[in-house]
Amino acid sequence: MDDLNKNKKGHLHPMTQMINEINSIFSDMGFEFADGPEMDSEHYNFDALNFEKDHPARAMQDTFWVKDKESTVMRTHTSNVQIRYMENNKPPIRIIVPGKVFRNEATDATHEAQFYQFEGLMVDETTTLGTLKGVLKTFLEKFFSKDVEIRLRPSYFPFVEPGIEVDMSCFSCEGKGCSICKSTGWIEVLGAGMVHPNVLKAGGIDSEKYQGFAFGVGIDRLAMLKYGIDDVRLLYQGDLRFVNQF
Amino acid sequence: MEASYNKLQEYFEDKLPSPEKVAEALTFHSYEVEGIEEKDGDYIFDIDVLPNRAPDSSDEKGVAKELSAVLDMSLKEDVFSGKLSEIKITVSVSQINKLLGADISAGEVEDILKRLGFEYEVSGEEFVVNPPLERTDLKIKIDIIEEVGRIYGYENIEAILPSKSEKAPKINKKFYYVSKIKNFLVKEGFSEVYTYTFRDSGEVEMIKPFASDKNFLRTDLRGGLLRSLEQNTKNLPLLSCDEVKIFEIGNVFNKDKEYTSLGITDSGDIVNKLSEFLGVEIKGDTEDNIFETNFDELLEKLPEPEDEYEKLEKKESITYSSISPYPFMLRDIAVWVPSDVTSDDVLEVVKKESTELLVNTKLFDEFKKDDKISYAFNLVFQSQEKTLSDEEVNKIMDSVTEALNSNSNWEVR
Repeated sequence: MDDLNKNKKGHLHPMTQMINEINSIFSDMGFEFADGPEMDSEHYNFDALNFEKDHPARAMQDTFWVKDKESTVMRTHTSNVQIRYMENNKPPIRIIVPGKVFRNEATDATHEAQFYQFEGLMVDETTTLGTLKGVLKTFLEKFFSKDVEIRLRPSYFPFVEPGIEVDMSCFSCEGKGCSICKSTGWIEVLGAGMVHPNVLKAGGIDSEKYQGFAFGVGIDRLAMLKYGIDDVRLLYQGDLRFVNQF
Repeated sequence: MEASYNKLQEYFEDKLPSPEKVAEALTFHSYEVEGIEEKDGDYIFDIDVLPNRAPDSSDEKGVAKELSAVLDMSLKEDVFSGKLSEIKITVSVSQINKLLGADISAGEVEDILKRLGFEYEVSGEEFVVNPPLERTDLKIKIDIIEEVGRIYGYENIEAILPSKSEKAPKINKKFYYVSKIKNFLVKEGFSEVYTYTFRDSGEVEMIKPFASDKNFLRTDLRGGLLRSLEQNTKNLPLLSCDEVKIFEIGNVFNKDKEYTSLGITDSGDIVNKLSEFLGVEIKGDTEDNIFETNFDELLEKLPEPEDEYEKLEKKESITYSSISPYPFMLRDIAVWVPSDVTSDDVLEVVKKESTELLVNTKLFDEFKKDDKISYAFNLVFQSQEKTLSDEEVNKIMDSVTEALNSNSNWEVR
């Protein structure tokens, strides 16, 4: 009788489950899991990523700056690991970098001051925008277990060029229109682009010879889409009523 | 910025396509049109001009110029100054195709440069491009490649998969052991939580925190785990476990360094079990029933991984259901049934009568006497919409009792 509830398994946090799944999908495409610090220098978080000195993202209302430490921030993206990795590894490079990032913004059901993101970086002599399309489409199809279409829109991020925003066809209504895609049939999922030559140079890589892509995906947002989570703050409250559903 | 469809039309001899088509063309080739508002026989576009395009596209004139390139429609007259940038950029057709993964011909490239209103010279397969003065965003080769790519259309670039890499990706030692330990703890009945990095005290402070009680970085996981423990203990009847057993692996910050910590509720001999599993002794501190250790130091003692990451279990698709903000109510019920009746048979009847307000059940006692068996359950009731009253729950319990008693030889105790 006593052991009725014994030997019962616990639950992995849904964020862990998603990171495991992301790693598994990308590992099959030859991507290595890489990591880096959550607190980092302005150099790795901004300067080396081709952010202009007066770029608004550096401002205190967006970025957590650390007191009594010279030019130190809580990383605003996992892109800080791009340069760190390039400094220690030569092309061909294929990495994903899942991790926690920080933005100084008001929190609500869809925004948290801390959240998870994963970076993808692929650099060699032949990687093109077409490769980026293929890799992202494959990832999204495997992650949502559905055939999806993707479309690219021009965008701007200092560390890539061309910079693009990626939409995927709605996995829920398959384009017919529903609440998830706000009746458009498309869901905005991530930002990406071809690595800017200045970033390759900052990482010690010959930008005439090598080229590649980078992208960043908010995992919290993927969680909302994949599981129908209605409030991202639940991810960080240590509440088993939430965790044990996964 | 806002741009009027009618005003844009004034820059063109020919009729513009519909407002929707104009918006779509801009969104997929230039910058996003976030909305179209119909207003007094006109359409107002809400355009999110990209920061690098602000110098040339911050008014209708600039947007008209852009549209003429995207739609390949000529303007009545050039809206730019006609002056050229001092920068000349050399780019070849093969460089363009090599980066985009496209097969754009020299003729197509030339046509796109013309549509954009760039001056250029052709030299072999190279173009020496001289952009208009207004296009301050164009400085290096990649800038011209982007121009050609977006006007050509990203939809025309074929998606391809990279060739198989020569060797399997390197196993990341930290992620390998983090996963291994998490999976072990889950098998031992522990659930994983993520708690907040920001706290009201610590050793590393933010210059401008987003809340007055979140100005420091955590120095340990213990604080977050204790809060989680307390909160989950209150909700224990809602959880399918007898005891709250939780852990977290995450980064903490002291004055000099950031490191990864492992924290776990210290129940039974879990730390010994984990030590045994890993084959190294894990040292740490237990305080307030939470054991915590420096994970990075532990990692140094562990050997390089020799196998792959653990295979993932195939999971059924999960749809999360919202957590009710209303309190739950507890009831117990015990029933005598013939010994061939299982607890599941009894639960089935209970659930049928209880509606969706019955959110959790737990069999807490079971004993046999002669040819009869007694099952006792905790029943947990909760609504998604309101606080349940005693009367409401009593009424449910009455019908549950009645339904159980209606089976022959079943008797609610």
